[in-house]
Amino acid sequence: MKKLISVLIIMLLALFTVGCIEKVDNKEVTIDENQVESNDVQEQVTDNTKFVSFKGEDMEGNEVTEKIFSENKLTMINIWGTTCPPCINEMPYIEEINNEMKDSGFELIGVVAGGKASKIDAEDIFNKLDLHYRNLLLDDKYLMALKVQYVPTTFFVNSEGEILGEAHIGAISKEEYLEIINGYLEK
Amino acid sequence: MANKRKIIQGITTFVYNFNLKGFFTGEIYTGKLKNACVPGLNCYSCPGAAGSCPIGALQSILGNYKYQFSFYIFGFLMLIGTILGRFVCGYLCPFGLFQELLYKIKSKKFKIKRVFVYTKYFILAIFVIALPLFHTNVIGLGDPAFCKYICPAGTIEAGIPLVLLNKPLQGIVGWLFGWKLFILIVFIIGSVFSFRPFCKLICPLGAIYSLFNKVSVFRYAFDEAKCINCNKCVETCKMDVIPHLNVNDIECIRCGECIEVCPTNALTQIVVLGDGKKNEEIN
Amino acid sequence: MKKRVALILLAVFMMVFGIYRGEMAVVFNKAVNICLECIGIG
Repeated sequence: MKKLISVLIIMLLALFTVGCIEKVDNKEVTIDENQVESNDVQEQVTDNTKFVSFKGEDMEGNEVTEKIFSENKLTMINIWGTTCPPCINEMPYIEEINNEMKDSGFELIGVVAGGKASKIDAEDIFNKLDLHYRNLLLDDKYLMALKVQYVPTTFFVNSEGEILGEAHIGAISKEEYLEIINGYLEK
Repeated sequence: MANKRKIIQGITTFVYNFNLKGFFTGEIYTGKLKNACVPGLNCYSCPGAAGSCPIGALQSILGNYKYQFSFYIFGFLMLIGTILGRFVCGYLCPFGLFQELLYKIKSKKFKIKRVFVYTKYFILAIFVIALPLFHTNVIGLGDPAFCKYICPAGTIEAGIPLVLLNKPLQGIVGWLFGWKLFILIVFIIGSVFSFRPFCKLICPLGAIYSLFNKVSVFRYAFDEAKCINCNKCVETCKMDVIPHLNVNDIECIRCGECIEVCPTNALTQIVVLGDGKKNEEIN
Repeated sequence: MKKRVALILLAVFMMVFGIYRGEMAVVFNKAVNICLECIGIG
């Protein structure tokens, strides 16, 4: 029995060690603003600083592509799930943020996980919470390309379609969002 | 024979978590298999998990504003319970295996008073059923309270690996993660000194399956005529069951050790749809 | 015998009914999108 335990423990340790070493080699999706200028970016197979090109619909059925980023100085993409309580809980106040900041060249755009399959539930939730910001239905393959695994995840994108800073995982307070937004708008 | 059980437990752990790739990428499996649940307690946020956790699934359906009851999950649990009862606990649960391995560490061993085994029904009623149903947010989404506040299987299988493998997560761990870690550590230490304390005291899945122990197709039988009252079965049983009094007790996880030690074969394992008048002895 | 068979049949019927009314889709959705709150992070 002791042998079995030792073998199992060694296997577990090996698994974790190899896992950690592998992770160091992985290029992380989130890239600092500073690296945009460096040459390294061009050498990457996928351009990680640019938000993935996409084609999807908004809730009214209009086609939407990455061109929407050019409509605003700063776009906040909030990826949420219809069964995710932290996502739902922050939506009322990010709606407020959208209302307060939209005259400053800012727009909040929601993206619901599950895309078209979640449309009815998403509409239901938007009605219940009296939300009016734009919400997109994108195929999950775009979320996978962005390496989004958790909800809520929030990206800030400039008018050139480049992701600013890191993806924000988890819900944060209204004040923290405003701080980040004002920080980006000032640049 | 006890070794055969450990091997099956090991294979089970591997089968439930065959997405080994997930432990290297830090990403969970998103394939169609997750439409189905595994019978044991295995967190569906574990990077390796290939199926869903029945307790997690139950909370997510009860917590959904569209449903007040889950036919799919209760049906599944009833199916597994009627066929296997707590055989799942003894053979098909990774977290059970984990606790048993810890118990092998040499130390003074303590028993848990029988009366405390009823807390798991309370945990089931409150954290798995009531809170997701009634503790809802502004749109009626309920709290998956057991997963969120208690489950140590989730902490060790999902919480810890995901945090270790995903740098962005490391920045956002809060008090809740600390609390879950504390619970995990309590059960790790507890498992050294006492046999499967989580299974006895907390596990809502074990609580559900225990209700089927008496009716399960796979169960144990006791032949009073053969019993010589040596009490070896009582001494051996680590779940504090008294086999010669109540052979399909709610606490029996079907590890089979009592059957092994019974000198007269009064205790047997049967697999019958009927009442077992004609015993099919497997061991 | 009847008891067990009845339970098994009822269980299967319940599962099918549950799938029919969309419960399986809910399970899948929850299982593949990690909601951090559910696993106790943050």
